[in-house]
Amino acid sequence: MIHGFFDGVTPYPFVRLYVSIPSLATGYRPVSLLLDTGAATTIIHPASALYELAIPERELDPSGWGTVQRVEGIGGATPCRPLEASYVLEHNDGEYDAFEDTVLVAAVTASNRSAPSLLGWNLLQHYRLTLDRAAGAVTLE
Amino acid sequence: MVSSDHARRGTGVLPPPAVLEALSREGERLRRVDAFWAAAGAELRREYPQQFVAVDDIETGNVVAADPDLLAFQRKLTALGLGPGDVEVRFIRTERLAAW
Repeated sequence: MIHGFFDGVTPYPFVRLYVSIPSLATGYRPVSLLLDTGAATTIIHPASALYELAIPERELDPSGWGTVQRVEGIGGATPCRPLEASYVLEHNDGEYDAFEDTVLVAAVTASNRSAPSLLGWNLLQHYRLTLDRAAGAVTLE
Repeated sequence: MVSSDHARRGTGVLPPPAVLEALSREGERLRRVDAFWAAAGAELRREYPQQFVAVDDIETGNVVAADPDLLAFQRKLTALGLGPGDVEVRFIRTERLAAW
């Protein structure tokens, strides 16, 4: 079982996992991701990119990207860079899950500067989710 | 505590045990950081609503930079010569998400 947490003020469920993006030489770093059943793929938004994954700001400028994928959201289309990533999730008993999959690293836009990163269906599909804010419970089994 | 060389679930290969041990230690450190943000939450929400905040010492809660705009906040950190490993950063969210 993997335990997540609720944001203290707003009703959003998060889980912390470890992400490595080899092409950006990030190594494994912990990232808190909002569980988003509306996201097809996990998305790293700019604040997480800078302060959790320590990705240089210049890497968030789409003018330097080879491939750009536009992701439609409520705030409009966001240019994202699709990259291969390794994900590791830690169970409460000390065991781990590991996945190789795509991650989308978003460019800085007016609407996503304070947005949390999103855990999408590419990983959520592997789990049974339990969300109970009154009990403070966020679990992936 | 690393109890297995193999992933319980998933298609990926686990990193070497030494890396997992380091991640586990980092996870423990982050739980202390989380506890700081939780304890300081009410005061930070009053002083820095909807702002990025950087703290250089979770024992003292010393705020070294704050700004509602990510890029302006980043410029402040850069001017102070601070990088991601030097400070703990959080966005002090007081409003529900509208869009991203």
